[in-house]
Amino acid sequence: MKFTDTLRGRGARFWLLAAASACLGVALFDPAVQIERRVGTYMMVFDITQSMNTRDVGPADARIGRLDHAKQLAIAALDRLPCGTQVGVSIFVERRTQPLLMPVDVCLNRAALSDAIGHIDWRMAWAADSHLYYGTYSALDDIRRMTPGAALAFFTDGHQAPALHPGRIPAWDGEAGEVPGLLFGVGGEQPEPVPKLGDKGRIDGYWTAEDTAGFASAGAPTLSVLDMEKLGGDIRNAPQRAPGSDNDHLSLRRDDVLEDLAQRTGLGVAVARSPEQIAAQLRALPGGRVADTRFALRPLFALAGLAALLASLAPAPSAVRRRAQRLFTFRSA
Amino acid sequence: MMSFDHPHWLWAALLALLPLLWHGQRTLPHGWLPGVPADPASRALAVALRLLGALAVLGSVVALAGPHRQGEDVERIGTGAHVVITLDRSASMSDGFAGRDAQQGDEAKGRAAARLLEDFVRERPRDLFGVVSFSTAPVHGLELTADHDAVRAAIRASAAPGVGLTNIAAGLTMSLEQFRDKPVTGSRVVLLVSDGAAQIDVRKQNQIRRLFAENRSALYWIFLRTAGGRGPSDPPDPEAGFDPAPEYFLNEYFRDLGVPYRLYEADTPDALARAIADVARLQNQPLRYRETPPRQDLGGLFIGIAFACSLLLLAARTFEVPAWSR
Repeated sequence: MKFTDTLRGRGARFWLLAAASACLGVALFDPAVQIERRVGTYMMVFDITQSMNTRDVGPADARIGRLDHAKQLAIAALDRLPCGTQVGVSIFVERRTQPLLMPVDVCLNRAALSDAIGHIDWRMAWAADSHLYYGTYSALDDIRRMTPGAALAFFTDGHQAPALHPGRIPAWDGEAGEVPGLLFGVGGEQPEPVPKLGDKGRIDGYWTAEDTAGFASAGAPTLSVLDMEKLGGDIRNAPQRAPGSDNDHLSLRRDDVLEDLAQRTGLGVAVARSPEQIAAQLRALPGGRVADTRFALRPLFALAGLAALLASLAPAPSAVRRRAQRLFTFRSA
Repeated sequence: MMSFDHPHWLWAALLALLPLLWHGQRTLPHGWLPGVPADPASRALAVALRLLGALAVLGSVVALAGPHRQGEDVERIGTGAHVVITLDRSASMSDGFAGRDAQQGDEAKGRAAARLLEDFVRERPRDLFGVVSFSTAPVHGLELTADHDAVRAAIRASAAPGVGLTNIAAGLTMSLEQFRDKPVTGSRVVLLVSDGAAQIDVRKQNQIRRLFAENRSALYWIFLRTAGGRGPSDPPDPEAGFDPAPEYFLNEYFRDLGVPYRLYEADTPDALARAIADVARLQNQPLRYRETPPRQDLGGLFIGIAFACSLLLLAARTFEVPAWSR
């Protein structure tokens, strides 16, 4: 008997099983294709000023601090960015950013990234002020100087202290949109007291209106004695505060500040809600480079093999019908 | 131990029960079954074929779950060290060196230090590195890690213009804390790179002394001299009136720590390069270190099992008889 004769007249089950074997055999060699994907480079900047310690985000029954929330979201977002994407880490306080880690691969250097982000702490601050405009410009400058082509992901609540006088908002020297990026707003929509944390991270108290009134705002108008006399009242000893900053000891997410910043710099604004949303919005930013990513085909072939194998073993519909019929006749007899 | 990338696939292992119910073989009608003699060999074969089917399904399901083994750490003898690079990021690190030929536009100290430290890391593939930087407050960069790409990225980040003051005590404390609860498998070094010093109060001095003793770490201080500034080896001048000379007293304190200590004063990038080369040479003493072997993919093994089983089933099926032969 020839081999072709053995194959002739074999039913569908035989061919299904042959197909299953073929699929599994191919899967054994771990086939893969290289696909080109656009991947970005992102500098994640974390606002570590004290307002970021306000516990008004996260689930309603387990509020956590804004900084902790931002860190959790950022680390989780790493897993939702394609391999080849590079992420750097930086912190903001006072009027400057300080890079901690230049961009590294989200897959190859995943552990180092979550280590660096996870250890970010408000105690790293070298000063207590929070001039967000300068901070954002500093972050953009870092990117222009150190990592051209990267995009910015700035996690902040938009709270500034001391408040700025209107009309004294610093301008950016770059072109709007020169550096792509997003300002991710973190924080609640209701004003909340800002905690003062002790050495061990316990809440020792809260900032009061008196505390914040003790710091003069930058850019207060300079008046001569003559001007002061003309204006009347005790202007010389009056607090040098920007109007409308009486409640600066309370903090909420300042979308208005973020919007204004975005307008000046061409950055986008979004509220940081979920890792999926953050990753998706970062990937939608312009720029980035094309990188080859290995796409493994083994799971596809294994799955096809599995399906064909089960199909080759499954009883034929006619057989099922026959058995059911037999059962029925037996019962009725 | 085996672990899985996608453990939820393991639920599909229940599908392996199906081949036990479905034999998938061709059936032929027979006139009178009780007349057929009992055949234990056939029964065994029938069970074996079902088991083969189940095993094939199980193999491919496990392969889909992405099985792998993270090997046990292997202890090796070699040369290497655990180095916590402790970087000064105060504002003065953006200034130039003190060297005689220094001029405007020369490489800033911070930048030169970052460049040379990067080379240092590149040349020491077996070392573990941690990164801590400090200005007014200590800043955790990276835990001791073998991921040298990340270590170099952290060092490069330190080349950004600095801010604030030089709080050496806090930086040293954080660096020494990195060794806490880690096995002593290599010589430990705190590599302090700074361009200034600060007085450390007595309480902090005692704390740092205790941490050095507890963690058995050596200290190398690379001092980058600023133009017009003084160094640790210049004693205070009694004629000059009030002269705190913090560098000098800090050096004296370090010498008194009771751990291996070296001071390098660098006032040019070349001197800095020589200092780093010297540290590299000193640390090339034999030590035990643990190496984590790369992860082993077991997907191929399980696909192989499934493939073999399905081939055997296929072979069995080629022997099926299409009809009773007379």
